[in-house]
Amino acid sequence: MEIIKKYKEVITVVLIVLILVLIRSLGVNHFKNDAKRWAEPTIKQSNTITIEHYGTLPGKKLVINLDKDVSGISQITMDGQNIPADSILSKKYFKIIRKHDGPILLFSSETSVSARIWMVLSQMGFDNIYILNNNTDNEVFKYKFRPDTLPEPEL
Amino acid sequence: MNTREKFSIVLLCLGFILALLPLSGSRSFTVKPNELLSEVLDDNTYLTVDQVAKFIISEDSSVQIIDLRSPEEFKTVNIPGSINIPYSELLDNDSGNILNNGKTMNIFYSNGDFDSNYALSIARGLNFKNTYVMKGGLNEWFKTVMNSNFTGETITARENSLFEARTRAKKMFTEMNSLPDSLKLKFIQSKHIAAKKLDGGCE
Amino acid sequence: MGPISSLITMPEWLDLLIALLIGIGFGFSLEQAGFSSSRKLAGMFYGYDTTVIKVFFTAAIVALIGSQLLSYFGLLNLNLVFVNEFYVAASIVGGVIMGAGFIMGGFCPGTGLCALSIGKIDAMVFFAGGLTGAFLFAETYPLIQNLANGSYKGPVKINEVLGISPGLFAFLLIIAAAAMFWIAEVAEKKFARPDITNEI
Repeated sequence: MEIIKKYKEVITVVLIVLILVLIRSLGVNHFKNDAKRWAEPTIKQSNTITIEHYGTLPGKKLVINLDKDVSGISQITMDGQNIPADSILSKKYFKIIRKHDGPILLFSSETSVSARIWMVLSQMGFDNIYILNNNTDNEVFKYKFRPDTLPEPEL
Repeated sequence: MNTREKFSIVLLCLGFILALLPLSGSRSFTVKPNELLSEVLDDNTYLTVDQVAKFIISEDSSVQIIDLRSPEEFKTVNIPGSINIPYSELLDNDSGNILNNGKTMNIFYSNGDFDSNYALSIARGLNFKNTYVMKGGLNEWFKTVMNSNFTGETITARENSLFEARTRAKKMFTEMNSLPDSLKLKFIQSKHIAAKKLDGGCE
Repeated sequence: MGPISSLITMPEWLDLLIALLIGIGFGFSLEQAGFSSSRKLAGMFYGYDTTVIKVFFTAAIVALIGSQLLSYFGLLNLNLVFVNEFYVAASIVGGVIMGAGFIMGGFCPGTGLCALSIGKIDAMVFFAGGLTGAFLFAETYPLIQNLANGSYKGPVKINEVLGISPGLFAFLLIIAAAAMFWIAEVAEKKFARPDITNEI
């Protein structure tokens, strides 16, 4: 007890900093440190998954449909939650994402939207998040370029 | 003595806490999540291949086109005037110099829609506001510009100007990419130096 | 001011005002620590007065801990903080010149300014010498250019070179500092000069 009284200022300062640090480490409403680490799955291209392999992910899956208009979407995504991309960080929907224990899959009819939302969520510290996408050849160059090696005719 | 002792203990304890934290020297997003969300959902961050074609044919030097694919793919074929920053290296070195010019419009493209949009989210997250994406990537470029075709009897004025721009861009693209490798390399290197020069500051 | 301006947007004059207040605080604390006395400053090299190293190192460590913690809380973007560029040869030569000047003159540029503000004549002469030196550097630049720009390493950070995290480096530095202060206290007893008191 004597020791605590003697060093009470020291203990207060260190305790305050410790608590602030813990609050920050455990919080999810901000971007995490080290952007490269949270972008890693995109560099290894391990964050996209097709409907066929959907079943191979362990755990209870949460499929999020990011489109505003879901009238024309296929059956599998109808089973999931519809969260329009612009409200994904709103209190109500973000809570669903945070509380979910298991893989989260993002789907959108626009590839660019799911890619961008994936990055935003991943950087906030979500590890178990994927993009549900059936075109495995989106980043494959689909054309052949024929170089024009004939000399220009003199006019 | 007493104050000094206490102060040193405080510093040592704080240092110990710091040693345990997952700090890293690498960059982190500085924009707040809600802000970034509205930025990435903003339609103005997309440019169509036609808009990019216009920039190319006018040789607009306030535009910097960035190819995110591997160096081999870049060497085979690339949009005239673009520089190559492979996506995997985007967060590595000082791409900050090229991106944060403030004077140039940086347009990302890859073959499709994934890498370019990842790169855009990263760039905007790091607070590089002058970054954009060419929608559809090189695949869309080939489909729309290179294989541009007009069928039908009459043509509207708008369709006509689109077709003209596409033809000119196609010509430029073919010429640039048909250069023998040695000339291509020189041209790419000269573009690289020009990009560095734009950074300004004392040397 | 980084941490505050990331929370609220401030007009530029407020930023500059804060800088002015910080500068005043800096000058005030240097003066009250007795750094206008050239005997105190030269004492660092002769061993009888190690206040300099304690004050400056403590300031550096407080800044280090503060900036790392603020960066962790997202209030300070450390990537925007300027890191000095490292020219090996120039650093060594400049260090030798500065060290010799420090012990001969009994001032370094910052503390010289402190002493100047309280009217010390030797500080005025020291300053005139400093400005002459800077002028000579600019005039002879073409001759010494190679030395000044040689072996450029870029903005190097020790923790990057060693491959450890900034936090761990901070902790090791604090331990090293504590050890140094302890050695300094021992040295003070050993090299004591009773004829130089605090009144000079």
